[in-house]
Amino acid sequence: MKYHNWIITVLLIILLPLLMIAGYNWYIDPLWNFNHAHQYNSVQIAFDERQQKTGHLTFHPEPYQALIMGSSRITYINQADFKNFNAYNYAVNNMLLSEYREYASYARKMNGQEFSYIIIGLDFFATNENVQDLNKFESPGYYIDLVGATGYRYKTLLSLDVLEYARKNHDLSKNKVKQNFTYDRTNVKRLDHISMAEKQVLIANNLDWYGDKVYNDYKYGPVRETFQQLVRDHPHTEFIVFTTPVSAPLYKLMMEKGLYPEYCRWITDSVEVFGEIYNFMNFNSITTNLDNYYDASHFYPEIGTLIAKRVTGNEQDKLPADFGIKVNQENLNKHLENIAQEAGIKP
Amino acid sequence: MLFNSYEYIFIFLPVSLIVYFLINSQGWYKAAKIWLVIASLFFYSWWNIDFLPLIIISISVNYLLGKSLNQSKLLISRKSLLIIGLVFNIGLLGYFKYIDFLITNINHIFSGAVPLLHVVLPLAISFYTFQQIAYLVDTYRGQAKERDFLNYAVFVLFFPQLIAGPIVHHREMMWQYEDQKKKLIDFKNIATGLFIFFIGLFKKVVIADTFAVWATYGFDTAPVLSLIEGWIVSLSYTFQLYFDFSGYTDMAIGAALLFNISLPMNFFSPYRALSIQDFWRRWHMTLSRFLRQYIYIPLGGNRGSQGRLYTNIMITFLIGGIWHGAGWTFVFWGFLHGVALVINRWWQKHGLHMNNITAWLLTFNFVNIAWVFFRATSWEDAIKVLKAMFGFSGVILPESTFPYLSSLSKLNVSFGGFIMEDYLYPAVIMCVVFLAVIWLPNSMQMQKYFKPNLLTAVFTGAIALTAILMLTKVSEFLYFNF
Repeated sequence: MKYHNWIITVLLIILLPLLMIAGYNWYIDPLWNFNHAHQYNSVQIAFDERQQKTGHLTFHPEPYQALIMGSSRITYINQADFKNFNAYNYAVNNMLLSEYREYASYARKMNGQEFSYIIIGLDFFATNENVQDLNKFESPGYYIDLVGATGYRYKTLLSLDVLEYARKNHDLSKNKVKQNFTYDRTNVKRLDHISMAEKQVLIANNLDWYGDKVYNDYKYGPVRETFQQLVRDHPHTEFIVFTTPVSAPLYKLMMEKGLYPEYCRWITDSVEVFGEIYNFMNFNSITTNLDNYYDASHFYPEIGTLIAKRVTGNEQDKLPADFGIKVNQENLNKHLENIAQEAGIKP
Repeated sequence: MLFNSYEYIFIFLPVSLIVYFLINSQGWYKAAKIWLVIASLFFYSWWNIDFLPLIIISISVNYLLGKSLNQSKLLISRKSLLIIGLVFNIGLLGYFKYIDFLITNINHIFSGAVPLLHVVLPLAISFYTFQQIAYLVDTYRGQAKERDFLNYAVFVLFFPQLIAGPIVHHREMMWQYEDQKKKLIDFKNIATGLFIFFIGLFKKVVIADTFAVWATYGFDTAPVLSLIEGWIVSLSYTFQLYFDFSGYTDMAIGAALLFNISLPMNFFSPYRALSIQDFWRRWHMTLSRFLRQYIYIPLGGNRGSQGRLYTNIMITFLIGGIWHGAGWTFVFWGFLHGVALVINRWWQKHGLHMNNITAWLLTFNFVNIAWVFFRATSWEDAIKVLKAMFGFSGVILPESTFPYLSSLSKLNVSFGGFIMEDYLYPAVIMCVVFLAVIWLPNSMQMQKYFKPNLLTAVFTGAIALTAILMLTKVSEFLYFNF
């Protein structure tokens, strides 16, 4: 073989498969860097929501009116449930207090304008400073730099890892598999009901884990300071803030671990910074019914719909009256007393 | 810019190559050299343009010093001029690489609180400084002469060797840039260059980066390691470093060959070495050459007494150690190699012999253990890995071996419960790579016997494709507890 023929052969062996793989990765788009939606990419595995949602926000220059933030519990709330808000759900697994500011500022930058509303689902676990040690993911700056790197969305098309995700997404989409924790192309995450037996196992595991890792080694973090900075970062934005409704067994565990004072401090800090919040985290008709839960901390999307209605003031009359109590400076003390009373604690 | 980046592979390298030969094809040889310099400066600045003035200053000063050394009428002696050059280069390297290390030590010794300067290390400063020191010494010795600034700039800046070597001599490079035959496209060189470049890319991206995960975990993350884990971690780094550095060198040699420029060999299967002296003839060969020619021999080399010889070896290796990084663990690594070489010389002097298998085992294990100090960012990390390797942090065997080895539990051996989630996979990969390192031809041998046929085309295409597809890794983060 002549040398120039050898060179052409090698280049063809490299470039032809590369082009095909890049085309396939683009078509399925598992990193959410492009806009197209079709039947073969309708199911998307959430392998790293931080990277995927940051990419999605970066490359979908739609001006959103509202930004939704929170942990995995909030990821299951359909952003379209916030009717008339044109909201983007930027919640990610295990979002920590320390991440809110950077992600919110980046989202505003990508949005090209101030958000009218920032909707935050607060988690009690995130107030524990030591929870930070349980995490192995990168900081917001890492993902923002990654996605903002020159040619990011085209370079990632030439990736074996992306090809593997694309292949899985393609299979799930083609076979119309209904798989929990996957997204569609409109940023809506799936969580289907499971049997009570499966649920009991998950709840038992959750309670062990929270009891051992989260509530045993607890240190109240810089909650108030973080909220204050967030409000200062977005002076023209209205904050709609609510606590996430964990199931009654998990809520009870928190109280049993003696964390009522920290819970009160959390609610108080939130009310004092944001003015008012909706508290869903107590014993109420939703949290005491395990049919509403996938496990001890994750409610089903239909409960997310109820939360959206409550905090946006829609169809209030159709919601359970005890689900989502508006707390402000005026009723704060009374509310905390009620919480103590229903939990059987002396305030 | 990194060799293992899309920008380099798909844009920078092809564009710089095509434009270079296009200009040469018009007979504009000087313009082609200017293009090489511009391309190299762009390559250098891609990561951080802030250091561009520094490298330009370094080149300009060294060029002027070299030019002055060649002049017959000088205001000061040639020796003084050389000393000025050495002070300038070592001073530059000393400030940017070692100043914070020095301040830390002074603070430690005198319980002081001198604030650190937090000087950022300019890219490639260790390499281009050594290369220019060699040039000045060669000029002083009458072995190099350069009157043209453009030629000198190409000699230092040529991008394939700028960042991580090989450290080249003026006399082995400049004739190549002047040779008219090398101004034309040579498909043999392009084919061979691509072949070597992609072997290097595969070594770096597929092999070294795979080992890097385990080495990083063991050295930086794991609080404690057991016996098997300790060996997996140390061997992972041993292989990571070799495939990373030799891969990068292969890419440099391959890229240079595309321009019809031959760079010197830098690695030749170092882990097959049968003595520590043999190891240094195979590992980072151009650095060994520099240390020998510009430190060891000027110190007196093996002339003089045995004591003097051993002292010269120790000084050379202590300098070699600290050249690799500003830290006592690097110095200690150099010290260990120095001691090993002294023992090696003593052994040879007394005519003692050892069979090849024992010699290889001893050499390889010494090199592997010494790398622990090279890699560890602190003494504590080094001791953690070494303690594990020698069984002081417990012995854990795979759960599956319990039925056969349960009696060992009396000796405090436990079963299962590894910190590394999957120890079997790295162990298997390590065995395969280990055999490859020992038995397969190295990239320099492969280059020598390279033939353009379908087999080599498919091999090159396949490894290139695999490596390119692994340049971007997208890892999974699933965490459902919250």
